Amino acid sequence: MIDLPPRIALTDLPDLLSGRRAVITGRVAAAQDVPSLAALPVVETPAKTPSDADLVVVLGGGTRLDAAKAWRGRNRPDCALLAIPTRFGSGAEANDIAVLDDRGAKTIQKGPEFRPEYRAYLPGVLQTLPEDALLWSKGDALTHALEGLLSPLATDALRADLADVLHTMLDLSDPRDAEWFELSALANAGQAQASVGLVHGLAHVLEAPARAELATMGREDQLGHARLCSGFLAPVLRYNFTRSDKAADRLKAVGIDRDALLALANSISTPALDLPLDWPDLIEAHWKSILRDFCTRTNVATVRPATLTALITEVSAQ
Amino acid sequence: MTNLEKLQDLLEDVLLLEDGQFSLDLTRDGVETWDSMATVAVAIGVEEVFGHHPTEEEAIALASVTDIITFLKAKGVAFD
Repeated sequence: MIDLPPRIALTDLPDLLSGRRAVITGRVAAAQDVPSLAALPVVETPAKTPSDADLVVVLGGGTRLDAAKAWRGRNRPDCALLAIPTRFGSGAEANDIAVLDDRGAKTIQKGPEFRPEYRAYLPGVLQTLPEDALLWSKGDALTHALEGLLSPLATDALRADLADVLHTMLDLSDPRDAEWFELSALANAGQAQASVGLVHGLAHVLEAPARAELATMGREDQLGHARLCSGFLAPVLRYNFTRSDKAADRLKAVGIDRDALLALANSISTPALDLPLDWPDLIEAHWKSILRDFCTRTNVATVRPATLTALITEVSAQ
Repeated sequence: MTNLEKLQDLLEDVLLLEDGQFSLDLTRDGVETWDSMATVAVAIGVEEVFGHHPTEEEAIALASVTDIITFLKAKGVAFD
């Protein structure tokens, strides 16, 4: 069973907050319609939490949640954390990993001190998210479930759990369905028990240089981790299928329809890569770093210096 | 390409070895990049190249080039 932090229903929030010295931070505007959250004192950043506070409520995307998890883990292990994502995909509210951006380089920290004690969801936030943001969220969540399932470090039991998640994702066409929050949390906590693969290796290494290039056009806000994972999902899936039988065998073993999965991945990857960037050139320029990335090295098929051409062929075909 | 050459090729790639660094004496302790992730990558590579999948225990025990050759010889892969 994939273990998740307790999910607090919005109706149970007053009980959780009662008697606590709680503060709220992050994208607090998203909680303005929830009276028990709207009434909490706001702190600009987690670091400004008063020393007598015993619960921090953080709202935001994966980056903001991870920053709060890292701050709490390092500085205030005595203070509980309630994580409320404002979009699905990262699943950061559900795991014990904090991915931090250290001057453009991604560092990954893992430990029980980074795991939020509680999670909650605001279903309404999905109604206002733009279509493309929802698509990248879907790609991010799918990538976590898929790479976790294919991971050489996953147990059979974990693969079965992630297969259930993936089956439900394949059947859930409406990206505004709040069920995506739960699926995304399960996918993320599941992969955290194993590893991810080349999609994440590419996303981690290329985010900074790709954004820097987009910044020269004033478009850096159009690219983040979720869109990168979405973009490389289909090309890497095809790469894995051509490099060995392992990926196809593992999907078949849990009853995942390879063609349906590839069709869904294609429908996400094609628009995600549609940016004024030369992806093959970027991959080639950073290939050594991609090869060294922690995630690349646990890909279901080996990623070797000479397989650059095979990967670029798949990315170019997208 | 001989099986030894295939193994050398694989280990140079997944352990990110420099030119000339490969030798039959190579051990996990002596290679900075032969960490736990590389142990996983070596196991995946051995299966891809030689068609024999090390179990988790076997993969952990593959701590040198000699260990890998011994494992593969036991599976019938010739190294002479």
